[in-house]
Parts: sequence; C-alpha cells; structure tokens
Amino acid sequence: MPSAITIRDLNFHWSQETPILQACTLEVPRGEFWMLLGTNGSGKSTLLRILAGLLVPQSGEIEVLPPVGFVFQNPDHQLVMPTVGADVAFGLVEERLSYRQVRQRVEEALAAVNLWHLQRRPIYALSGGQKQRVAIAGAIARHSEVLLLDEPTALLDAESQLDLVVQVQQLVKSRGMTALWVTHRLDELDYCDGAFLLEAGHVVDQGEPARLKQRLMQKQVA
Amino acid sequence: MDLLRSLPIGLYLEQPVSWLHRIDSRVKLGWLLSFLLTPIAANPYWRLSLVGWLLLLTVLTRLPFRIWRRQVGLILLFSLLLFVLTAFAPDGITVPNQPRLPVEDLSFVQPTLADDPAVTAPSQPAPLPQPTDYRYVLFYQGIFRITRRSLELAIRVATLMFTLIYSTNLYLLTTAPEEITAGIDNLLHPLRRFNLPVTETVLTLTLSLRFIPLVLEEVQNLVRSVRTRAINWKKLGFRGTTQVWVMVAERLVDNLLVRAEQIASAMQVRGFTTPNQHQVQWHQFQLRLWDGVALVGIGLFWVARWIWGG
Repeated sequence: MPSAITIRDLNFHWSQETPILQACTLEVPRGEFWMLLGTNGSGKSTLLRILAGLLVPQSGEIEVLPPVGFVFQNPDHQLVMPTVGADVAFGLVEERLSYRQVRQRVEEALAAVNLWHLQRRPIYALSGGQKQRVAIAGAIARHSEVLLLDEPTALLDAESQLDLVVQVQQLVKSRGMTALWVTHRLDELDYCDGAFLLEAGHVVDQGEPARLKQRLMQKQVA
Repeated sequence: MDLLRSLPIGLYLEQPVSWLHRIDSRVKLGWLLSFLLTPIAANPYWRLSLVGWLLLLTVLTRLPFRIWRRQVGLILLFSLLLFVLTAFAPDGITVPNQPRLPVEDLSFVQPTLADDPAVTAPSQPAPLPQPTDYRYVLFYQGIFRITRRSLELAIRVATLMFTLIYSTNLYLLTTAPEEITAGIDNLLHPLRRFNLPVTETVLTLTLSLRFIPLVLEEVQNLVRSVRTRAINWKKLGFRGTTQVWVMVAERLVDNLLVRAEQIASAMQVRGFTTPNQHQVQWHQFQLRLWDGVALVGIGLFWVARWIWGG
C-alpha cells in the first residue's frame, strides 16, 4: 500500500546537547488513521510541526501528500476569522476559486463535521469541541489528503473527546483521508488503525493499537 | 469567557436573521454614517427624531424583545442621565448686566428717602410685563435652573450619545464582522490605484476583530490569577502594589505576543498567501431590490435633513 506520510532518519534539535528527534523513521499508509503516542517531551509535537512545515529539520527525508491540514491542541490558536463560515473559507484563498465554489466547499466541509447550521456563528460563541470541528472543517475544505492532529482532545471533556475521535475515524473512512493523531490518552487507541510509540526522539514500537495499548498499560502498572 | 458574554453591546447576533441582516453591509454602512453625520449643525427636533427613528427601526426588525431590551435600556438610561446632568448644569452663558444709571445716583436723586435702608440697598427691579411669552429661563426652583441654552445643550449631548452608541450597536448586531470588513474592502477598492495596501489593512482589521475576545480572555485569566492568590494589598503598600501590577502587565504583553505567534504559525499552515492577496471570499456583494430601496432611503433621509433639520 502506498504511504501518505514517509519519514526517514529525521534529526532535529534546538541545541547540540539536547536532540529532540534522533533517526526517527515512520510510514503512515494512505487512507488510514494512525496515532502517535509518547510521554511528554518525547518529540511528538515537534515531529508534527516538522511535517506541517513549521520547523525545518537538520537532516532526514520527509514526504507528505499535499495539501496538509493541521489541527492544533488549542483551537483558539488556529481559528483566525471572526465567524465560522469565513474561517473555513480562510484556507481557500490560495486556490483562487470562484465565490460559488468557495461557498460549496465550505458548506460541504461544515456538513461533514455536522456544523452546517452554525455557519454564521461567531467563533467565541462555540464550545471547545465545536471549535476543533471547525478547525477540521478548514482542512476538509482545502481537500487535504493528510490531516495532522496535535492532541486535539487535550482541552475537551471526556464526552466530546470520544465524539471527536469517532468523527475523525469516520471522516478518514468516508473521504479516504490519512490522519496522524498525537495523543497520550490510551482510550483513544481503540479507534485507530495503527499506532507509533515514540520515546526519546525515535520510534520504539509500532503496529496494532491493541498490542501497544497492552504494552503501555503493563508499563504503567509496573 | 464570561466577561465577553456579559458585555451586551456590539455583539453580532447570527440568529434569528432579520431583514436588516440581509441588507448589503455597504448600504448599512451608508445608513450608519448618515445617522452619525446628519446631527452635525442640526436643530434639536431633528436630533430627537433620530432617536425615534432608531427605536422604530429596532422594532421594525422584529428581533425578539429580550435581545435589545437590555441594550436599549442601558443606552437610554445613560443618555437620560447625561440629559438631566447637562440640563441642570450652569449653561455657561454670563450676561454682563450693567444698569444705565449708577445705583448710587438713583439714591442721590431722592435724598429724602436715603434713611430708609430698603431703598438704599440695591434691589432687583420688579419684573416688567414682557411683549411675548419668550423666557430665557425655563425653570427656576431653588438651586435648580434650566435655561434655553442648557436645555438645548442637554438634548444635543444626550441624543448624540444615543445615536452614536445605538446606531453602531444596531449595525454590529446585524452585520457579521467579516461582512463589515469585506464591505470596507470593496468600498476602498479605488484606493488600490494609489498602491495603498487595502486588502492587507482590511485583513488586519478582520484579524483584530477576532483578537478582541482573545485579549479579553487573557485579561480575565490574569485578573483571576491575581484574585485567587489572596494578596494582602494593605500590607504590600503602594510600592508593592505597583510592582505586582507591573508584573501582571508584563505577563499580559508576553502572553499576547505568544498568542500572536501561535496564530501566525497557524495561518501559515492553513495556506496563508501574502498579506495583500489574502482576500477571503465569503461574502458576495450583490445589490438586491431591498438594497436599492435602502439606498434611495439614504437619499431621502438627507433631503429630509436638509429641509427640516436646518
């Protein structure tokens, strides 16, 4: 199966003494929903930021299918326009679409995350889960092949947390997208197709989510 | 974000959609400017009628009463307070009044009565019968005095405040922020010829509209953080207090800059082009029948101002 995200021997550090990513290698197959696990400071967020092009690695190879959609931990950092519809339309300027096409894309994207009825709502009047869904809609509207999510559920309550995972899982299946989801909540692992375990800047294990979950739970007990 | 929710003025209402929501934002901007500009050098009747028109307009939008009750109430109360204060305040006109003949002279003419203290004391002349019912002082009771001048000033200040705040509020209530900025972008289009960065300016304005809630939130978080620490202000003294607030202010600036940076990187990831090209296509400007009616209305409004507003 062709892969949507390929990383080979990636190295990144802020200073020579403290490397963050060391010879990191991973591959996410196209059309699948993978998660990235790891303790604090293991380099998960840095890896995602490199994939999004926000950071430039010192060495290594990266291949990501464009366009890439990114969902931040705190949606308030990423929603830039004052109301929902306009915010989803923000990422479409590049493609120089007509007004009608923009409208259609935005409505389609908002319908995909069940927020079609909130097009005119100001961002500040949304709940945390709704804001995350608007952020995802922004990526869908751009027809992103790859969706990168940086702990999107960290600021949500338990109920909206599971809602969001299920929704992303369905979106990946129905739209053939590829998603890489960073998390440290083990119960989210039940919804993905595979997972990576990142430790001290490189992948130490990968594969079946159920097996990884077992491994991590034993580790926590021990 | 309770600070923002408890501020009832100037928030956009996305539902229910009234006919005022549907009118083109540029036409509404024209009306807003008319409401703000026609009071200049107008008579009190025109100014008062503006308040009436605005209230009538609000009722005609058929927006639910609970939405505008508090806003109208607050602004009316404020304007009334302003009216009363200005009406009773001294009107500032000093009329230098000098009798044609010196008072001593009068007493000199009638030397026989000079011993009577009631006559020698300079007394007010008895009110003379007036030819018309014009009175400069409209109300005089104890220390309270309302004159024509103070009444006019009071009407002027109170109605100006009301139209200023309320017309803007009504505009913001029925127009989405990016609709406003897109309208401004569209109106400023001719300035592009002079190489002015119109789109960039308008984009900055749009982003700052989104930023206002974030700044309020940040301020609120900091205020809470100070409150939860149960600082004994009395013990701190003036110097200590100043130091604490300087620290808080520094923190606020820091946090806002961090936020700005995060948003900047988010914009980059989300496909930001260049400042002067990034024109978000979300509102289509197309003048419909009702926009035309509203435009003609602006014209009639100015004609009326010209004829009766003098």
